[in-house]
Order: sequence, then structure tokens, then C-alpha cells
Amino acid sequence: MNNHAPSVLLVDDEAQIRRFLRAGFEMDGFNVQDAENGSEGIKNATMRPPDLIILDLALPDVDGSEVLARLRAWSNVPVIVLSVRSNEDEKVKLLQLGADDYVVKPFGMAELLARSRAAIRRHTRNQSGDPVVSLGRLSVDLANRSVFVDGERLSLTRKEFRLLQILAQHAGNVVTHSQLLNEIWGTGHDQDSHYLRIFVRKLRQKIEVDPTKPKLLLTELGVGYRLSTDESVKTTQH
Amino acid sequence: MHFGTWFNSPPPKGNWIERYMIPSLIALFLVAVTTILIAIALRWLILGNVGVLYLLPVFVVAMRWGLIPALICAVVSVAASAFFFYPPIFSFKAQNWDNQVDLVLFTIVAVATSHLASRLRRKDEVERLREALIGSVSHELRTPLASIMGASSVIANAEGVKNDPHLSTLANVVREEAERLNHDIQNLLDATRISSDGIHPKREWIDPADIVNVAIERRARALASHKVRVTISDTVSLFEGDPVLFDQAIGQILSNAAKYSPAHSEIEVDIRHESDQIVFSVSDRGAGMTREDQTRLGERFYRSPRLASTTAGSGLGIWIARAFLEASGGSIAAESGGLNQGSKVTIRMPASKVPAREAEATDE
Repeated sequence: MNNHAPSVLLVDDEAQIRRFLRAGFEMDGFNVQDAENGSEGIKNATMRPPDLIILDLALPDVDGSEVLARLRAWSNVPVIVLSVRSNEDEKVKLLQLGADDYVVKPFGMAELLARSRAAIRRHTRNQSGDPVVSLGRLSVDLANRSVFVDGERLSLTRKEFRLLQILAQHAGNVVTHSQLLNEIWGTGHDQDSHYLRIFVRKLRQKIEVDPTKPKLLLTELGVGYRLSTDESVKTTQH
Repeated sequence: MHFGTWFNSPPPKGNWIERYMIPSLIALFLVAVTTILIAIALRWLILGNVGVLYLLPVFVVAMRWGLIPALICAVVSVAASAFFFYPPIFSFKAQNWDNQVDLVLFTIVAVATSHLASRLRRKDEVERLREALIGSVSHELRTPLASIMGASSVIANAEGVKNDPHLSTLANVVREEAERLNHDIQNLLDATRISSDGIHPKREWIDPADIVNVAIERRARALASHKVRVTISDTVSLFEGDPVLFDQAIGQILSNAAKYSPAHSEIEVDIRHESDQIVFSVSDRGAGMTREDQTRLGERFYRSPRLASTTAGSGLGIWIARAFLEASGGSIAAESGGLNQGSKVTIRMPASKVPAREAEATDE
């Protein structure tokens, strides 16, 4: 896999935020470059393509979502968005625009690093084509359509497997409700979020030790679901 | 434009033309319209004292443009009613003593109304300014706070700090206190949002057990020294609401339960279905509530006098919770056996009927 140190591009107009992000990423072994506005960010991403981009939404020159759209026109580099609370619609919109995940300001470094690693891992997995996703007790073989928990093969229904498959492909990162609904039930089911609730409940009963205290299949309020990787740090109320 | 906002928007600033001339012209126009309407109405109706009807334009002008245009409006109104409706008609003279008394009284009422209305409006402006100030100050505070929290989390994780018990404790103190500050700022922001923009809840299907777990999980730190037990009856169905607002509301109640009950005591969350409602109750074994506390719970800035001096708080939490729940069609109520008998806060949300297209939701 990666022998070289992964590189990250930080796009944020707040100097102090860039400073602690730089320290945090460098301590975790990343090579860091940064940009203080959107156009500089796009320029840097073109000149020296990084393995990961951390993108603040409130930039002085270009809107963060505009930066994301321009990036996505030619690159599928993992992007984690820095957002503020109380705007779930915006998060969903950015995820649909192609962001891999988001963290809510203020956040701790561990949370951002976990999201970052998950996004990078998915990116390399997509390129290497490794069909098995292992998440602690859970292992999902995407090619053979088989799921193991603690070494035991589970029997899942077709839709349960599809749900787990999509989440496993994004392991560690959030997947939106509408993305899940569209991929499992087809388009036009955006309003049918109760299907999803029912299936998540069923799937948790099969894969969780205690389905009432899920550790693997986590709920992201108002946005979607996330399959926790070992190192994923749960979002706590700050 | 929404009528309420138009009414409450501040009077125009700028030169005297914008401040007095235009409003006065509008006042004249309103008086003319009122006169025409009264004239039309008099063809079919017998109106006792038409002068009173002129209070309407005076009031509108006073509310919107302040005292001076309102006084002009009042004087013109008196003149118009004397000229058009009090005999002798088409003359400013009043024929009999009664009508003259009417006119004097009417002028006084008009002046008093406009004065009162403009005072009301000024008070409203002060309130609005205060809200705006809280809003922008909180916003300004959050940016450095994000840096403090982020930086302290990096420090806490650094090799030299992680292995030094003193330094790691201190790094955590910084982070935890920053989190607490952030929580308070969030409450202030929520409070200003509620009173200035109102709440616009979304509707989404929510799994009651799931959202309670998320709420507990997200406040793990605040609940760390308590045992939280959740019981769910089997009959509980999904309900419709705004998951983010609901999490905030039940989270406030959970944090309060932990705050006002002794460490290591139990907090019980009970979820059940009662006829057409999903009911969530949070019980603690804490300080309890007096009768006054119970009725005044959820009032803005209300804090129980016996606890206010010993525990930190703003008196906003439950007020926010109540606003969020009521906006989504729910309610909140508190009961307590009395002092030190614990408290039980109950949320009721309307149970919506889950669409019965189960066939699509099942497979194989």
C-alpha cells in the first residue's frame, strides 16, 4: 500500500485553525500544505495533488461548496469538510456534491484524523480493488456477498446485505439517507425514510452485541449512517 | 412582506424627508382612505361616533413611524372628522357642545395612543438590539474556541504529554472547559435564534430508541458519573419530528438530570406508547422540584432559587428544549415528589401513523 507519507492540503482562512491542524496532522505523520482561501486551495490541489483535502466551508473568496464542485470536476481526492452545527441540510448537500465526510467545529483532532484515515483508506481500496472490508468483529466480503461477525457467517436478506455493503464501502465515513434510499430502493424513495429506520433496526439486531447500544452501525442525526471503523471516534456533544 | 415584520421594522433613518415627510404624506393618505371608507360605510350603516374609527390610521402610523407623523395624523384626523362627519358638514365648526367634547377627547386619545405605541416600539428596538448583540458576540467567541479546543486536543495527544499524568490532566482541563463554554455559547445562539428567527422544524421518521441512544452517547461526558438506564416498551413505533431539535431537547433534560442529582445515582429513561403519543420520561434521584419550580420550569432564565447559587447554569436549557419540542407539536412537563425526591421530566410527541407499505420494506 502506501509507503510514502500521506499528504494533506488544509484550506481554512483562520490562521490559528490552520496551525493546530498542521501540528495535529504532522504529528500523525502527514506531509502538510495549506491555503488560506478557496482559489489558492484549488491552485495548490492542482499543482501538488494531495492525498486528502480538509476544506473549511466559510472561505473569504469562494464558497466552500463551490471549491468542492470545482475540485470534483477533475479529481476524486478525498475531501473532509469543516462545517458548523445546526445546518444538516448543508452537510447533506456537500456530501451529495462529493465530500467524503464532515466534522463539526469545534472538534477534536482525534475525530478528524479518524475520518481522514477512513476516507484515504476507502480511496486506496477503490483503486486496489480489495473486496474485503474488516472492521474489528465485523468483516464484509463485497465480492462473495458474505458477512462474518466474530468469525461466524451471518445470514442477511438481500436488502440488509445491500445496506451493509454500501456502508462498508464507505466504512468510517457517513452515508446520507437519500443515498442509501436511492441505492437500495431506487430513485423516488427519498420520502420513505421509515423503510431505512426499520432495516437499520433489523441489521443492528444481527451485527451488534447489544442492538440498543450500537457500536458498529452509528446514527448521524439528520444526515445518515456511519459504519464505525475501530478507530472511529464517535461524535460527542461539545 | 410579512405584516408582523413590517410592523416591527425600525423607522427609516436618514434625513428629515425620509423620517418625517414621507411618513406624514402616508399618514395623510391613510386619513383620506379612512374618510372614504367611512363615507361608503355610512350609506348602509348607522355609525355612532365615526371619530373613533380615525384611531386606526393614527395607531398604524404611530407603530410604524413614531410620534411626530402620528401627531400629524391625529390632528388631520380630528380636522377630517369635524369637516366631513360632524354637523355642520363641510365646515370645521362643531354645531353642538357634545361634538366639541368628542373632538377634544379624541385628540387626547390620539396623542396618548401614538405616544404609547412609539414607546412600545422603542422597547422592542432595545430588545432586538440585545438579541443581535448576543448573536454576534456568541459567533465571535466560537472561532477562537474552535482553535482552543483543537489545539488542546493535539496537545493532549502529544507523546510528551500523554505519558505525563500532570500535563495530560491539564490538557484535558483546557479541552473540557472549552467544551463547556462552547455548550453555553450554543445555548445562547439557540436562544437568540428562537426569539429572532423562530424555529422551522423538519419532519423525518425517527426511531425513538435510536434517538435516545444517540442523545445519551453524545453527552457521554456529562453523564459519565451517572448510571443511565433505558427501558423501551415493545409497542413503541417510529414517530415524525426533527431529529436534531429532538436530540437537543432530550439532551438538555438528560444533562439537567445529571447536574441536579448526586454522582453515581441512577437516571432512568422510559419510552412508551400512550394512545396517540410517544412518551419519553427522564427520572433522576436528585434535588427534586418545588411546586413553583414545576410550574415555572421552561420559563426563560428561570432557575430554582435554592439551586441557583450552588450550580452553574443560565436558565436557558429547558426553555430551549420546550421551544424545540412545542415547535414540533410536542410538549414537556415536570413532576416531582418534592425536595430531594428526584424529578421526572416527560416529553410527549404526537405518534404519526407509519405508512403501511410494509411490503416494500420487507424482502425475501
